[in-house]
Parts: sequence; C-alpha cells; structure tokens
Amino acid sequence: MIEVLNNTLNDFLKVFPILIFSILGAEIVSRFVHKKGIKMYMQKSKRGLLISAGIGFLTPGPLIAYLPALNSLRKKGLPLSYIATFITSNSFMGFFRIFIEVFYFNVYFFITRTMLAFIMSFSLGLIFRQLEKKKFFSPEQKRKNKYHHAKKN
Amino acid sequence: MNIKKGLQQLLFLSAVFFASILISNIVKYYIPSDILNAVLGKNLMVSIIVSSALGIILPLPAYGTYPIAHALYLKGAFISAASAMIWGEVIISDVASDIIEIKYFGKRFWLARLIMLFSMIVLSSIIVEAVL
Repeated sequence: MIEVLNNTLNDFLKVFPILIFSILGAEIVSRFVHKKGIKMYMQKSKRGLLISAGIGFLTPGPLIAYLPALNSLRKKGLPLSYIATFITSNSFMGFFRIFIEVFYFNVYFFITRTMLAFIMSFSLGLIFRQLEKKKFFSPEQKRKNKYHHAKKN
Repeated sequence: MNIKKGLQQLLFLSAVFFASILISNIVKYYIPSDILNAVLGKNLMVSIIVSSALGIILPLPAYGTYPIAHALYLKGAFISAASAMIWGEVIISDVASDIIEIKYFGKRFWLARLIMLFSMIVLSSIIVEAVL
C-alpha cells in the first residue's frame, strides 16, 4: 500500500503543472468570454448547427454557467437542436483538454476524439431538429394539434 | 474574481485528481490483468458498453476519468474502451447541471440526449479503435 501511495504522489506531482495550466487557462479565457456575446452568436447562427458546435468547443468552463443564457435564448425562439448541439460540444470537447489528453495518451488520440465529438454534436443537432419538427419535445402541443385537426375533419 | 474562482476550482480538482490517480494505481497493482482483459480487452462491443456505462456511473468531474481510463488501457483494455469511458463521464458529470437542464428544457430533452449520446459514443468508439 505504501508503494501505491508513493506512486500516486509521484504521478500527481508529474501531472499537477498540466492541471494548473489547463484549469487556470480555461478560467482566464472564460474571463474574456461574455455570455451576451454567446447569445449574440447563437442567435446569429440560426442556420448553422456547425456554429453552435464551434461555440461550444471554444467556450471553456462548466456547462452550468451557460444554462441560464441558453434558457433565455430558447424563450426568444432558439430551437432546442442548437441548444443540444452547444451542450454536447461544450461538455465533450474543449481546447484545454489537449494538455491532459496528450499527457495520458497522445496528440492523435486528442485529434481523433475532438473530430468525432464535433461530428456527434452536429449529428445530435440534426436528429433533434427532426424531433422538433415532429413536436417530440412538446407533446401537449402535438396533442392539441391532433385534436384541432380531428375537429376540423 | 475569475482567478479566485479558478484557484478554488484548482483546489477541488486537485483533490479529485489525486483520488482518481490513487484509484488508477489501485487498479494497476491490485486488479489482475486477466480479469480486466476478460471484461475490457476481449470483446470490443462489450468493453465499449461496459466502460461507457462505468464512465456515466463514476461521480467524477471533467478531468477525473483520465488517470483511470489510462490505467485500464495499460492493463489491456481497448483504447476505444478508454475513450468511451472518458466520453461517458461527461454525460452525467455534474448532477446540478443535469437538474437545471431538465428544469429548463424538460425530461424528454435530457433523456433523448442521454440515449442518443450513449449510442453515438458506442459508434464513435468503434471508429476510435479503427483509427488509433
């Protein structure tokens, strides 16, 4: 057990500078990222799930900080597909993950996973777009529409 | 203000990271390779599904899974299993943000995202195995 603790301490000291760089780097960048700016770009990107995925990738910090801004955007009419894309890319990717991933695996691991995560976020947005069209996320609205349709007939 | 927050986060993550490295060393020293190999190193599909489920269940924040995934990989797990574990971890990494997500966007939104991402992780991990 002493050997395990010894190795743990050694491994921790090796990775600690990278951890400091990743976390403080993300915090410093998030200082310059304004949620209003994200709102603006997301509103502009109504035609592009790709832009939502890109913003999610570039914005550091915990997802919880962005959820209120996303909710207010949704109230203003932003489709859920864009929100799903942003949430997925923000949590799956992140520039500052590169240091930890390269330390434990290698740069190819990071590149492959980032590319796949980007594709996953985008594909999820596309699926969500189809589900939104079918009113999957608002079953009450769907029921009302069906009722009105039946009444008309 | 953000630097102070960053330092607080650094302290918290350092503690979590230390615990995660400790777990990875326990895996290295005490879990026999043949047992790990049988679960995570023989059948690709089984190993991807098990490790992504493990990633979802483990209550670790963003960077916490890397040492454990790496230890499993060194012990003979597929690289795709390590990748699936890291991806799985971010699906439910922070319960607070999941609760807020459900509150703002609904249960259906959250559940659909969870189910679709799980299947996408499985597919992407197969690609990771083929590429790396």
